Amino acid sequence: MSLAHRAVAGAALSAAVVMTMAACSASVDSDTSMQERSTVASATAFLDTYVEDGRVVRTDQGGDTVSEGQAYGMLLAVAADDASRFDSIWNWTTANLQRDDLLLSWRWKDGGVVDEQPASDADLDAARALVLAADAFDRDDLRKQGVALGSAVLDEMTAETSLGRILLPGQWATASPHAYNPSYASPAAYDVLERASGDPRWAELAEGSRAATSALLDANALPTDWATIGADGSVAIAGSAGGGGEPGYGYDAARTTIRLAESCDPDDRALAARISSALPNDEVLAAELDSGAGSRTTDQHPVAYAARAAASAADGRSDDARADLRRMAETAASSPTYYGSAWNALTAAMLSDDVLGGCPALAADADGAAAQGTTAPGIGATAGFQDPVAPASANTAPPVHISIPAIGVDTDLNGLDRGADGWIQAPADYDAVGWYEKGVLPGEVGPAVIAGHVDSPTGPAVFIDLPRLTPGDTVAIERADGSTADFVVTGLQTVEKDSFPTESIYAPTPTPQLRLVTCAGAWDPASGHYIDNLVVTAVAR
Amino acid sequence: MFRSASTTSPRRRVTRIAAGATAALVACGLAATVAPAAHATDAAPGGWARVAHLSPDTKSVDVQLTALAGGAVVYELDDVAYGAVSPYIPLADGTYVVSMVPSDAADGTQPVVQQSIDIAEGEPLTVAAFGRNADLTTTVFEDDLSAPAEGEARVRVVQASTVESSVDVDTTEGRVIARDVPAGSATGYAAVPAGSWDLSLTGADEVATSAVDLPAGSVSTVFVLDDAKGSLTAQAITDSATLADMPVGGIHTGGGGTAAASITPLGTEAGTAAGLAGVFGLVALAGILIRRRARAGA
Repeated sequence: MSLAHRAVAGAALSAAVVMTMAACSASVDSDTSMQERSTVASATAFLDTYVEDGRVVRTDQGGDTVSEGQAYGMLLAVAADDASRFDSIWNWTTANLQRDDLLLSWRWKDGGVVDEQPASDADLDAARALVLAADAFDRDDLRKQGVALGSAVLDEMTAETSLGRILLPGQWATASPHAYNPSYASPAAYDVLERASGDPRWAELAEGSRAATSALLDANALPTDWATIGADGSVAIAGSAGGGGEPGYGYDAARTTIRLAESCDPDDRALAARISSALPNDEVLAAELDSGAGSRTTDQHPVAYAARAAASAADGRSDDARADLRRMAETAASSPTYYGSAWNALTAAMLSDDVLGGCPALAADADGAAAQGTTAPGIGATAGFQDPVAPASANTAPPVHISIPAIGVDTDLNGLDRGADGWIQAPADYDAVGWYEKGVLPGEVGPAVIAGHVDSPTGPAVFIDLPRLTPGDTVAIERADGSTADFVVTGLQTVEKDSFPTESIYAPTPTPQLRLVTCAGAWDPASGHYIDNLVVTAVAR
Repeated sequence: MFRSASTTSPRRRVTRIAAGATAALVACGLAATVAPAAHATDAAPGGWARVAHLSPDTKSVDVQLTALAGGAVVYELDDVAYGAVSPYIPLADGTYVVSMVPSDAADGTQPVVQQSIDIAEGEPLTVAAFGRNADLTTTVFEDDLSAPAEGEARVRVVQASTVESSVDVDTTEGRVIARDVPAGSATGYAAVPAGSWDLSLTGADEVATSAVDLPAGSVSTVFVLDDAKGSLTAQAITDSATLADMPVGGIHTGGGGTAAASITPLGTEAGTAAGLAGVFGLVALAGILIRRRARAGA
């Protein structure tokens, strides 16, 4: 599969359009290229701020360094396409953190390792980054090291349970019930490493992790920072790695959703989408929630917004996702932290770019210009050029008959014109239905106007039951050429005649539609008219 | 287990975020929610996409639209031939993948084109596959729903010729529609007097004319294409349309015969308001009527 290059800016190109142009495409580009740029820009910003001679410094956490930070730096160096920075971070890591068994010591401070235990999320991210760097920078030596580090993770920090193979947080969690951190599991990393190594345990880990997360979400709708998993497959949420404290959705758990959303497996994305319904909808989202989604703090943090963006993206709600990505970036900018900046950059790369080997949930951009597509040249080729098919010519046959089975309307149509006052004139006969001839032909693109009386001076008329229509009811218009245009009701609205919102009700539409109009509201004896119109919208089906 | 404390507690210390950040976020949220107003009771999905097959040496394709969330196929179109632009497909907000497979291909054949699109309310898109088969490309064009001015039409050019890298489009009367439109691009929309126009298409080597009909109230795209002989041709497709002759006001569609019996409180009150004017609440209702009547007279 050849990954397509970003399509050329589509909408507003440099072609000189000399005639008057509506100024409606002006804002097209801003959002689009923003996303494309943001991966590299936010990755570079993180590297510039937090990396010193290959060491990723937690400047806001005492200036120490953890293996997780080194791994984030390596992933972001790949995202920024910065080979030399990648090398310097990895070199510092091998020189200062990597142990004889290839796993990485967790924490370094003031010139030396202060905690030599490995943390599996860091080692997994580092192994993934090594393989991605091998591809990006054409370096087989890095692939070997990545595969070797991955094998060490499989050997030392996974366990088989009734749910399948799971990722242990560290070597300290080998006894059942295992301490478990759902946010350490990384389906995209498993996938990258499986392709590089061919080791079948990666697929087992992908399956087992999915089963574990799924079981935990059954137990609690939000993922928690910590949990336990028994060898027999029993799961429980936990307040900490040691089991104590109140279970919560905090800085760890937020990553669960992001990692699920970047997975290429639809089952993982479905889990991320499932989390979306458990998160609060409020615009301001607390950095930490309790297990029931109540706020635990008034703090905000980029990773919390990133996680909700990931959940929305997996749920197909791209606009919500983008709104949270903006909040993420705002929060990262207004209150920069090592962890916030890292996840700000990682989320941009994971959700809207495939540079980290996942499947971006926000791959396409609504604004078109940066949308990604794939093509397969050679497939479906013809021997030479073809003539284009002629577009179906517009049907100019006038409408002659209308039927609305739900309310018993089945009658011929008359033509309607505008009066001297500019208003569409109603049918002369109270039992006739008319169509506005200077508008749109029913069945052609646009909103065709059809009007009928609700009553006569003495009793009900043809459209007396129009208010009873409900979405889903059908309308059929027969044309003079014998053809029929079919519509389905989608909505009803009542508007005041004198302030009739022509611009919205008769706004251009890209599909054939109907506006069925009759009277409604109060009767005004002085003018001899009803005050309102009822407008029923129906669309081609 | 003993080392759990040292692994976890120091990991995620965060700085408290000042209230100022909240204000910034609210402003940002507002900017993000600007969208055309929807009809309040409209149950129909608010977005649309259509597909255009603009590759002169690619067979007819079958098109599938799949929702990214859930993976369900939401729409299928069969036998979309070169030069065809599908009708708009109504779609709910969300991300979809458009796949095109040669119509005569065996099951499981790799799609010749896959393109993901984000559908948003009120923002129709055209997904186009263009270029020669050997270097097929896809792009997504944003289409426009703005109404043309009275008596006018709006038109843009999508340049999909693979023979000419750049094309000028003028009317044969010499009115310039677009200059130097590069292959694979769309111009913005230009306003033109409504009517039937003969367009002249001018590339470096090829010159052709093409008749297009641009009725009042219509918004169209002129697709510049290659024909079987490698000459330029063009066809206009309607993007959207509204009433050619825009009315003002509503429509008087009632004789009042059911008004007294009708349930609407205002209608019932109107006939009897004078007799009941002493009742406080009804005075208020009558007042509304009078104000409305005054506006009707203006």
